[in-house]
Amino acid sequence: MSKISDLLKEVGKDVLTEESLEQVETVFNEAVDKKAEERAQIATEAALATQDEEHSKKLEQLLEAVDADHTQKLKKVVGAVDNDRARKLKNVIRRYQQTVNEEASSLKDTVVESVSDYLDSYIEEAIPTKTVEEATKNKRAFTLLSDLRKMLSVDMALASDSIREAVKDGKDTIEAQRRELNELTESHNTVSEELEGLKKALYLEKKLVGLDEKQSNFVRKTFEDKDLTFIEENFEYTVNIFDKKAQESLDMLKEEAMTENKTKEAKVVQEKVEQPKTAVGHYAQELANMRL
Amino acid sequence: MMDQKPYIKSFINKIFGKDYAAANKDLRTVVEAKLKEKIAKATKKDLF
Repeated sequence: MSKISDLLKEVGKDVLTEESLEQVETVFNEAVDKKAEERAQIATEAALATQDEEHSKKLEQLLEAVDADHTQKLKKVVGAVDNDRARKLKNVIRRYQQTVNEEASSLKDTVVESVSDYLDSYIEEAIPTKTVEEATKNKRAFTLLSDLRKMLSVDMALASDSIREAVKDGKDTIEAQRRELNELTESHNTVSEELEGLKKALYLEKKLVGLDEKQSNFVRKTFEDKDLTFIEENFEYTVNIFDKKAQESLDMLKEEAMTENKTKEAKVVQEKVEQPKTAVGHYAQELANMRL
Repeated sequence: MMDQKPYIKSFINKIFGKDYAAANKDLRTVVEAKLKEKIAKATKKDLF
């Protein structure tokens, strides 16, 4: 400013007045100011545009950097979460597999046992143990017999012909001997009975010597169906009883004859004869029958 | 004495796998083993 006014003063010190100079200076200053303002505005706008661009670029770069950083961090986070979840899932899988394997093993054992039991019961029903035992016994017995045959050198042909005939012969012989034994036994019994009768008769003959006829008849009748031992044991007793009863009868008759002294008609009395049950009863019955 | 469990397991597996021919083979083996056991027990008893 000071320069333009100084220049004008030097150039127009003779031409221009002080007022003109002031006017020129004012106009000049206004024009300069206007221009300066315009230029300053343009420069400011340009600077602002440049700054905007720079800031935009920086912001973009910043955003990109932030994005990249966040992306990286997120990737890290996702990776960590994935790893954690994967580890946990692996644990869960391992544990479930372990449990499933254990339970499956137990279930397998149970199923196998059940199938085995069912097969046992089915076999027991289809082929009972008794049948198996019987069949086994038969088989063993057959084997044993075969071995015995081999040991004794008896083959089947020999067993079927020679041995069968020998067994038949043996059986016939045994039957014949049995029949013979029966006949001999029968004969022996007959002879024994005859001998017993003879012995009894001989014994009675010996004992009855010296007795009268009535006594003999009584004794014979009494011992008719008795054996020798019984006769030997009871002979004397029987004779004594006979004598006693005869004496009593005689005494009774004497008394009757003495008191009544006359003959009475004999009264036939039918007495009911009871069969004696004992030997003594038999003797008494015989004596009663013999009463005169 | 034969262990029957492996054959029974194999039998069940083959039944599930629908391999019936092979399952029949295993079943026959098991039944034969059980019958042999019975016969062996009966043989141990006295004959008379």
